[in-house]
Amino acid sequence: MIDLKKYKYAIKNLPEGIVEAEIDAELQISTLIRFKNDQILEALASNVIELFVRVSGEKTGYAYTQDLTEDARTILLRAYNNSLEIEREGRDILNIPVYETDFCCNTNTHAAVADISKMKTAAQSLEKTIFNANKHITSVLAEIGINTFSSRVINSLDLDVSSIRNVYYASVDVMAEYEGTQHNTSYSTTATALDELNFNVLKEKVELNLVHQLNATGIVTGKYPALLDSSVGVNIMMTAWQLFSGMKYCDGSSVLSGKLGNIIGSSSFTLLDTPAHEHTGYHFEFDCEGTPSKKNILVNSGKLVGLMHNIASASKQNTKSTGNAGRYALLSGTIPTDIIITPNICYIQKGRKNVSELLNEMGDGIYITESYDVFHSINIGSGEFTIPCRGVIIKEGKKHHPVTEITICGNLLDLFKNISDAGNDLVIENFLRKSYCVGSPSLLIKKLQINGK
Amino acid sequence: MLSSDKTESILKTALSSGGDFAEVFFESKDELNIKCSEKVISGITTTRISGTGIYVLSGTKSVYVYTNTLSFMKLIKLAKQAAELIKIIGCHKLDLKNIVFFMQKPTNPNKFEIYPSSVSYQDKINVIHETDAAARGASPSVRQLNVDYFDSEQNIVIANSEGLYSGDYRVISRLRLQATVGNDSYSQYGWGEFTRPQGFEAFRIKSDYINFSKTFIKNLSMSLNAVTAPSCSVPVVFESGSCGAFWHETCGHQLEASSISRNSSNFAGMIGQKVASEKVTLIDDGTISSLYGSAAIDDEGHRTQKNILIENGILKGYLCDRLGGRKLNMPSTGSGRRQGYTYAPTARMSNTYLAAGTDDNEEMIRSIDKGLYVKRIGGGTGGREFSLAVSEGYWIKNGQIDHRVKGLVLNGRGIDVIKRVDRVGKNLQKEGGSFCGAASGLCTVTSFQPRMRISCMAVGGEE
Repeated sequence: MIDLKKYKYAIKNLPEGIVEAEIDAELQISTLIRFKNDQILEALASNVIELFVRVSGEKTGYAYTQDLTEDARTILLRAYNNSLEIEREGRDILNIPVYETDFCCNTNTHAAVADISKMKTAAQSLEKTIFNANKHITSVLAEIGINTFSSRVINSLDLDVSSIRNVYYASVDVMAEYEGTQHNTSYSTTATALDELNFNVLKEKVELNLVHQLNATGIVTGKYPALLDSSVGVNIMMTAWQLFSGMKYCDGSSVLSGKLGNIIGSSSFTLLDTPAHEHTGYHFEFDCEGTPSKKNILVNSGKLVGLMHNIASASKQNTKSTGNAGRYALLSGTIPTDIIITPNICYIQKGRKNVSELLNEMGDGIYITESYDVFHSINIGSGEFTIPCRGVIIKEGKKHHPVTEITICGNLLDLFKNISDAGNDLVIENFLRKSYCVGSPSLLIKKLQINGK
Repeated sequence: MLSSDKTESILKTALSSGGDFAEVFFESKDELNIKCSEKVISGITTTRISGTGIYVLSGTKSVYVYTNTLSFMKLIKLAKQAAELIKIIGCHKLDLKNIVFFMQKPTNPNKFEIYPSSVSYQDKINVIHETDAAARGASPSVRQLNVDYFDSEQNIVIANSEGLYSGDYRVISRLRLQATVGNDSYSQYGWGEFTRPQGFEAFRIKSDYINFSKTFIKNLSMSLNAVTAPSCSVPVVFESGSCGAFWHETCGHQLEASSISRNSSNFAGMIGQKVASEKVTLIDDGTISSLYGSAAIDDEGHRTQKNILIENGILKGYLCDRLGGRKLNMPSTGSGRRQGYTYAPTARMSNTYLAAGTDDNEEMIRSIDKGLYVKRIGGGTGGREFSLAVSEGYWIKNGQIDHRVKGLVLNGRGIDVIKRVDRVGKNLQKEGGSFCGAASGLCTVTSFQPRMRISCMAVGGEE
């Protein structure tokens, strides 16, 4: 548990003018190695603690520090001084105490100790496994790391919650040469223990990603039946989760504003936000305001039934926070200090069929295998998207040949309504400094605008 | 800041198990963010960043460790951790010699007059309210508007085992607008930034930020009437100024040492060869005054410099940091950059621009029967294949700019597209700058150019 003794004392003895105070402390301890040609090329290790402070007199002010030599009372006063210029009426609402028994997934009690020799052995095995994926591979940069994230939120209302999670991760950056042309791909996975990292999943993905790049051609622009690979679904969700932010819903900047209770997708489209999931090593016990994270159904068989809220947005909607107060916005300063709304693990529910069965179901169409540009391709106000992609032409359910330099475009609301089935291959990835996760299975789309050359 | 003796002890400790080079990077940074949401000041946050990174190299192997606990004893402990890691990596131990520091204090090309920290909140809040009012007055279609004010003062000190002891003080100020505009049936979200490598004097000329906010909202509102472009392959004209992002994404990232040494770039091994149209001369220069990507030194203490990357279509060089340079057997180009101490340095762009050419701006459009005119790029991604989001684009019809188009993302292979540059205008125009996010975090950059044309690009659109 992060030692906040001097801050606890300070919030028990608040300086004059301050009536409430909260400290959100976050500690990240990381170790990673990068491995290539049977040797470690790079090693990184870090240990950084951050304190996010908010205090209220009549209004609320904020401060952030990494300078642990700064006096606790001084930090509180710095935040208080910031509150004096606030024009917004009222002050932030702080959480009342919650109990650890509310937490559903806190399985770690202490920070894991990085064992470099075991990490090296794992990296050796990973490099070897990936080389076996495809004979055209010329180099593999394997990365094995462990990240321990501890967090503790205390406030002057006696809230004191803490959690710790250890996440191991593996990633590969692969180069291949095929008939004189260079190709590259990368992929990553996470687990709660080093020996639970599944390198075969990485191998399969790398193999497919490379094969899908070889001898790619263009396509004729048109509307096609399409299967979006799980990685493409994840890419879309990295931006699209914002549509379900209670804050954006309230201020009218989400295309879903005003549509709560309406059908916004097909019956195959169910979206959830949960504190933990078997497909990822990440888990989230409480948010940065200390609200416990809970399972929240956002879209149930196409119907918009829920939103993600922090205390402020929930208060505007006369509801309760869903434990989604976060700080890492897609657009932020270099240090994201605002309390906004972010997911925990936000994912599209998987179906029953595997990719082969979905391709068979599609018959003729395009399998969109890879997409890029997370940040600029989706407008959350209009729902419009234009996403650069690669893919494979499918004829009678079989892969015919790869295509590249294509874009998929349309409106997310149409896309959600055109989901005819979801695969059983749910993938969950962490995002934005590992502060949350998004996930998707492969998605079968009845018709999708695809632009080619 | 630590004394020379203590700094030397840290560096020697870091090298005690092996390695041929060690560096210590100290950073302290204060930032202010004032948030205006729906016309009222809704949040003020002061941010204090403070930490140290220790970097040890042995040939082309590296160790980077960092922390924000800054006592001398804690830093010695951190240096020991670096030494343990370098030992595990398997590096040779060298005889340690005394380090004699030579102080360097190069002048930052970005002069600032008014420390942001010396200005009252009220003066900054006035700027925000003026910006907000100007933006709302620019169009009745504004549904939601947030204005953020940011300023930042970063102090860095770098000392290394070669005796370098240098530092830099960097100040930036910016406004960010996030808005949703709409009509009865349709809405659009957008954001824009007014960025300056200056102190509070950035807001001395009121018309600068007022005009910026008005133009931002007017452009976003006009996008409500934009139509989808047809799908076809046509000439594309990129306007002067910030459309230089084209170069950042199509080839800039691929010219960074990390891409070249990993062989994930189509430009690897091509120095001396023709890689672009002869009209293309591409430069990255961190020394230009009053530009967002400029600095006195890079984040390894190397003086920034002008680097010619492509000259008349011939590839001349790459952007190198110290480690990247070692991997490529090239010297550093003063391009080792990082957001702060939580990142190891790596080669990054600074101010990247296409040199002015000789072509006529008007002819560039007049000679097109059917094509696309890109006035603003809203961001993109680089790599072997790039993508560029067109945030303001117009259809060209019979040599004239016609109607506004929407929803365009241009993509392709950079090394193919830059061979099709068939016009480069005479007037090089700079831009305000933005952040580039990559392996070593968010770095301030500019990307600019004169008006330029690609003879043919796939655009689309619908059938």
